[in-house]
Amino acid sequence: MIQDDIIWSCVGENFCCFKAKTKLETFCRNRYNLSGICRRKLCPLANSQYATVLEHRGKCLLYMKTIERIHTPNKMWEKIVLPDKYSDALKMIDEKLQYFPKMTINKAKQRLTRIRQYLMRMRRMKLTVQPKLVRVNKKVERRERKRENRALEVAKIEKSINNELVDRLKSGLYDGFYNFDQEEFEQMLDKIGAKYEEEEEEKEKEKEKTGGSTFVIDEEAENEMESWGKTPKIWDMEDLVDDDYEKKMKKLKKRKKGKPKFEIEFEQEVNHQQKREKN
Amino acid sequence: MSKNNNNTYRKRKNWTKKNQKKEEEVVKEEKKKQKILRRKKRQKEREELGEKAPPKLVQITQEMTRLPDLTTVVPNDPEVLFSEKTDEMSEYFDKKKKPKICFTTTGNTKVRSPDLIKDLIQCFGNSTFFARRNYKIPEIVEYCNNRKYTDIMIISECNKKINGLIHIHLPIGPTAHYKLSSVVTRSQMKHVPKKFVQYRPELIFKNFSTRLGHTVTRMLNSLMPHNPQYKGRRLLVFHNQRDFVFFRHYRYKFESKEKTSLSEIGPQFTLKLRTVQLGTWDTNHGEYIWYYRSKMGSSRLKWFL
Repeated sequence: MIQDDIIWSCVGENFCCFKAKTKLETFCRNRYNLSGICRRKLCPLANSQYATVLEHRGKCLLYMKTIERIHTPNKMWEKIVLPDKYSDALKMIDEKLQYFPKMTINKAKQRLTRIRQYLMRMRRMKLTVQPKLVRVNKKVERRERKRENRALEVAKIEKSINNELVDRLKSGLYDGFYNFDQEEFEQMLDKIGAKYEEEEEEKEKEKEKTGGSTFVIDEEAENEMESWGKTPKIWDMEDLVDDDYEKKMKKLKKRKKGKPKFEIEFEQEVNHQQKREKN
Repeated sequence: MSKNNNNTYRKRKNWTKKNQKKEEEVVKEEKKKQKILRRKKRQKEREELGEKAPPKLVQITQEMTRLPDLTTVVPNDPEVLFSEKTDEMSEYFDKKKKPKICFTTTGNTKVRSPDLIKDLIQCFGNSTFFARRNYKIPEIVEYCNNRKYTDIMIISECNKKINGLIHIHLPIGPTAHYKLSSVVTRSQMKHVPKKFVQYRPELIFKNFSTRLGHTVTRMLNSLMPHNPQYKGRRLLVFHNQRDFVFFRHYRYKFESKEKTSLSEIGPQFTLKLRTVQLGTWDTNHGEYIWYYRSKMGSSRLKWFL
């Protein structure tokens, strides 16, 4: 006992290599300390009769230190394996630490429970899949961003798409969907229209003669259409209208609201000479 | 302390960052001028010599000096064709399966992902969004398989930015993990129609040359419906450049036989492949076909797609 006081006067008040001081508390880094605080009754160096509970590879062990073995530091700590069952382990602690001070018994039991809790948690966590935290390397991120921007510049996406689509057109994927050469198309239409008008006039003349309706198949018109190529499919107006178009029109309308409306009146030129003649 | 030591560490008079920048700009302009002078010289020479002129200088691009890859696909390679017939995605290409996609997020993110997911659901058809409620990915795979989904897309987010995409092809198919960057959703784009008729789109895949690239194209292809409707003039583009896959969504119009005009609808983002696994997503025991190694033996000119 005297020895303990001497040790404490050296270690507790002066220097101890296991002592860690903070503003509020002093802690003890010694492995065998029951709770990690530096105090007279909890110091494993300054108590010749001491006990702790430590964990090794999932098993809880009771470590005991007695006065008889202080002079042999190698064999100072006696290790006892505690049983797996919680209640049995508590009983064993009571049994072995019968003649130890009550504080050590209570602290040992508390330490046991805490150890068992964290072991349970570890086992549970291993069964589930935990998210892996990955470092964000700033340099790498910066480099990748720059490379991406350069790749975008080099890619010229719209140009390549243009070429691809033109190739597809040439290969014949879109046959029957498009008609090009609008001028030719319109000329054809005009021709067909002119012929149609001529035939209409003929029909009217015939009607006047016969007094009934006749139906004549325009063979010539049909032949012309076939010779031109494939019959053009006429789109719906909906397809032609851009979706942007509607927005633009709305915008224009909005702008025009501010301006004042004005109507244009047309005066009809009255031919006074004719009138006079009639009169 | 010798005089030389002092001079090396002494800064010049009137040194500031601004002045440094100005000097750099001046140097740049001079370089440009000289470049133009050189070009004019060359043009003159070419005109004078006519046919005997030396050939034009070709710009050496990175694409030219790319490190050759062993796995570049030669067209009509019978081995490749056979392996593609017996692929996990072959059922889609034989038109036995229609794509059915399931969208989720990592965690319970609510900040940026819903916008993107809305756009993507409009883009690809026949897809649904499910909120991720602390289900693990193997569980999600199991449930989707029971309901006969063909693909799962999981979008991940960090610090209010969308940064990743996991694409799992079901039932046993490969998973691809991409890094998403420079995401622009339709709400952020101007002059974009709110709704568009969902004609089945056409696809363009550009510059995928290696075997890895081919598997990636097949996986992305299996998301889209069969039989594109050319009447709709809708385009989805996956353009690969230097291992960055640029995704764009256009409507096109032929103005003449040589020219098209494109108007962009739909979201815009770039993908960078990170890993490809053989089976469904499994980090513990999964078999990786390919993963990106940032340090070991990858130079600037070594591209994998």
